[in-house]
Amino acid sequence: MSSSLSSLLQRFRSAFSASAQLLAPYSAACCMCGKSRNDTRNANSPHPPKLTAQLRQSLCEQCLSAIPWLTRIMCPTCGRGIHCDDCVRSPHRSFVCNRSAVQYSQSMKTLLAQYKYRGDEQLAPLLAHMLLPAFETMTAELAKRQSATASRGSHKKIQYADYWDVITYVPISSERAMDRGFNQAEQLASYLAQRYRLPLMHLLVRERHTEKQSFKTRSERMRDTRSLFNVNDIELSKLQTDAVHPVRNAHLTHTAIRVLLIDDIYTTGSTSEACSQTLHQYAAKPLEIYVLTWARS
Amino acid sequence: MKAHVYVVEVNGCWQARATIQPAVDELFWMNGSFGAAGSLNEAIAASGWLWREALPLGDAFRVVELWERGRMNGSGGKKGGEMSRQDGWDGKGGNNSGDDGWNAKGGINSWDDGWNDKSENNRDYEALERLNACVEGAKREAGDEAGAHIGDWWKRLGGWRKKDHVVKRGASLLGMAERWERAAYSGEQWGVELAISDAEIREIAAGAKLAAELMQGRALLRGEAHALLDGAGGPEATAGWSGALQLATLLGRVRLSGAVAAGEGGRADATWRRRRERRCLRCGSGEAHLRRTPCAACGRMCAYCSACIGMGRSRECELLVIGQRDSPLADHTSFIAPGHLSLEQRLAKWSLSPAQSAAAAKALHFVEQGPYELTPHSPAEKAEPIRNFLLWAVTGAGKTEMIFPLVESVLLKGGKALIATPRRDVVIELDPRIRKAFPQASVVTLYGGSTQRWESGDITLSTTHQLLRFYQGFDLVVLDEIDAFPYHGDPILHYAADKSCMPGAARLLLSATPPNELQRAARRGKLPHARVPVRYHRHPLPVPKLLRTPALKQILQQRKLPPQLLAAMRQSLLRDAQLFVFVQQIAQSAQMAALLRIVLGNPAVEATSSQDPERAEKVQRFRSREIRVLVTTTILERGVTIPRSDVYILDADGRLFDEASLVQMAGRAGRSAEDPNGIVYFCSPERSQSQVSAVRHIQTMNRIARKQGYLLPVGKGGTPDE
Ligand SMILES: [Zn+2]
Ligand SMILES: [Zn+2]
Ligand SMILES: [Zn+2]
Ligand SMILES: [Zn+2]
Repeated sequence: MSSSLSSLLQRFRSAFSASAQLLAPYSAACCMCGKSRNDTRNANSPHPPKLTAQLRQSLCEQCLSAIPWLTRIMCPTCGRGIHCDDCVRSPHRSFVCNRSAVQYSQSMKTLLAQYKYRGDEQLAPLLAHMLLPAFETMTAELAKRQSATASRGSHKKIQYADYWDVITYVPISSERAMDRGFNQAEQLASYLAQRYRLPLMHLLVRERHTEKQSFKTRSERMRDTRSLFNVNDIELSKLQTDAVHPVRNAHLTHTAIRVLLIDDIYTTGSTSEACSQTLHQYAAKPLEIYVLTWARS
Repeated sequence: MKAHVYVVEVNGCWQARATIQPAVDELFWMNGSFGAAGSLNEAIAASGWLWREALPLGDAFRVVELWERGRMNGSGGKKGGEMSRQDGWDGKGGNNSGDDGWNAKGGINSWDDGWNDKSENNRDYEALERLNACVEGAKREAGDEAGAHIGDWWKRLGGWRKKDHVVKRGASLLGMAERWERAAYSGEQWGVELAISDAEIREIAAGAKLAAELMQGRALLRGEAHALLDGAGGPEATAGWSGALQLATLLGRVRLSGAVAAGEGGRADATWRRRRERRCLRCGSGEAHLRRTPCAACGRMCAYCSACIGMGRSRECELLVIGQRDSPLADHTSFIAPGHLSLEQRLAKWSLSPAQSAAAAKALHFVEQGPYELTPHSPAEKAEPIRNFLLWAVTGAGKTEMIFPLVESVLLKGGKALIATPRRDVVIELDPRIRKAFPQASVVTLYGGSTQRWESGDITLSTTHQLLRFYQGFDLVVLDEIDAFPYHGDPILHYAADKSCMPGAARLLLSATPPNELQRAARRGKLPHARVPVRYHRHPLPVPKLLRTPALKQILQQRKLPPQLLAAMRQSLLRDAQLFVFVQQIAQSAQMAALLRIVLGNPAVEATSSQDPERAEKVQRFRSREIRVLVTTTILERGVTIPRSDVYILDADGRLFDEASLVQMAGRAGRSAEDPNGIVYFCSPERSQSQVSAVRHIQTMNRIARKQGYLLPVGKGGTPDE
């Protein structure tokens, strides 16, 4: 009798599906709950934002409809879904505004942890796809504001690349990179850049390694993130020579270089603020920085 | 992570190695003396080259493989035409065990041409050239593979870009490597400058000893190994414990590799350029479960395993540390009956029933027989197959007690025993019983979140998933519920269950309903086995009664129980039994519970399923009789034992209830000696093949039990024939 367990049980199969968490065959099972998607198909439930096919294919109907989309924005600055004291307290930000795709609920927390801490990078496209509706809405808002100032509001289809000069991301430290192997914000930014043909640039570097943010109080976090970032000189100077708006249509009227900064979570805004300050400080030309994050906590 | 590669000349042969802490290797090869630990290396090297550039971990190990392959070809001259060598790399000679290295006698390999004529310096330089060629070879492979695997949207990241690999010569090549020479220690001073201090050397030597000890029989990722050593007071700094692991590796106590890598030795491809199939060495998953992403830790496209990611990320540049274990059982002189007691005498102390005793004796004989009589004096390297034994014991047979004598036997010889079961609650429930049976032994209980994670004991109780962290760690492995979720259809757990066994170890497969393949193998005499056809209380298994009822869907729609079913349930409640009510769908369980609450006029009805967060609590309340009727799915078909209970299986003809499942659910009834005749009903509109088979299965067991005289005689409280 051959001795390996597999060969002993070779032809033994059961009606039950295999271990859900461990053996999710990656097209048939839902990326979030691991259950087979085929069992729960139900096409006619409504979803607020328009979702890509990829997103529909990777999640089951139940998980898909449970995503806490942030569609109702109460605070125009930080993109919160509720009234916002932070932005009243410190109204001057170095970035124009933040928009987030989802609320940082328990289920979203679990999903992010699976990707970011466990390192299941096959979730990267899923998270990136969740970011798309927020990106498109944000760009559309921008387009509306611009066409309002430039009058002649023609209802043309938005060319997303026309509205952004560069897309960049919040960097991680080199120690973290060695440890984790990837930067989640960079992956998200890279995906967006690819999809909308935006130039991706590595404008920022992270100076030193801080302890885990979660162990700190809110004000400690606010203080600590300053001077955490530096610019990548080569990339920044490239941006300033390249971005003389060659692609941007002449009827669009803004003079500053428009930057889209990507991160995974927006909590107090201190990270985005620190990044924006650093960029403003070292850039020779005026910048207009927008922040797009996957989740708003 | 990254690692270094180097070559050293030992006894006139050049050998290549990978290292995670080059300074330790330099000291080991060039001097060998580790402070108080004394000299750890008999074979000091004459000289060596350390490649200065750190390589992605996988590439570093690949360099060593390529070197070995080239070496094989070099020495292959002896074997003449056996090996094909269109070029110096195409090593098909994986089984060539010649260890005469690069000094190939009469080799016609391109690398070896006429080296004898050259001066010593030239030989050294050639070794460096070969190392360079291997490094470039490994890089080129990695580049080719990255190009083939790169996802469209990752290309922008650019990290994978293929570089031109140029084989360097002369001064530029010498600049790529650091020369190692013998280091003499005179009093306070080393003859050459060493990269590590005396204090570090002491720490590393002590750490290596500890690592060799603690890692025995384990397979851990770098972070896990770190946690293990940390917990035992190993070196604190990262450099310290990589040094310790590296030294343990040099001493042959630990084996390092990439956690995801090409299978042992790699496949002998037609062209070495062809992509090599990788697999996760921790869980055994192949390419289908590997994902490639650009990796900041090693700087190239790097595959990680998505199959076992729930237990930490296994990837190409992640270190897998495997500890070598010497089993005391490998010495076959120790296979003398412990205490010179006969098998029967040793069985007596466990007070088993006659049926338990007979099966345990057969199993014990099998365990103690050992593989060594079959192949005496076989070299340790020759992996002996795992020896399987099927213990086919009906539900309630008392299988745990039957394991005790086997565990005792292995412990008495200084071996280690493992009992693995699919479910965490069973592990927790088993823990006190094992500790009570073996008060002298150290028992370690492992499950997700267990506090004993890094402890090591004589007896290990574990959920199946935890087996991924072991490598040849046990001399006796008991696999409980072999046919249950999640074993079946899960190749990872099969791999883990194989990997955890010491070569030649005895493995017991436990089941009340073995898969057909095992039953067939047992019947054909290909799988040693013992059958226990009777429960420990020696009463026959309750034979299910078939009750024709409408489908559950219809019952729920009509909000009315068929009269016979209602009467039966009332009868069960009247006789003070607990009621298991099995349904097929989770969604139906709550509805059915609501209906029963009304029609039975009893509020103590609850529903539970795999998705119920309060399941454990409800089972507890059912046990304490606070809940009288529990509506559930197959999730409770095993494990939960309630003294006085009756079983109702609705939609018993449904496709989710196969023969094994029906037998298991029926096995919930009549478990206690006080109430051995619980009642089981198969309720359905149709009589399915599975139902017929399940009834036949149970009747066969009862018949065998009766024939073998295991059932209690009627006069002594036994149950008469049905
Ligand atoms: Zn789902
Ligand atoms: Zn706000
Ligand atoms: Zn794996
Ligand atoms: Zn890597």
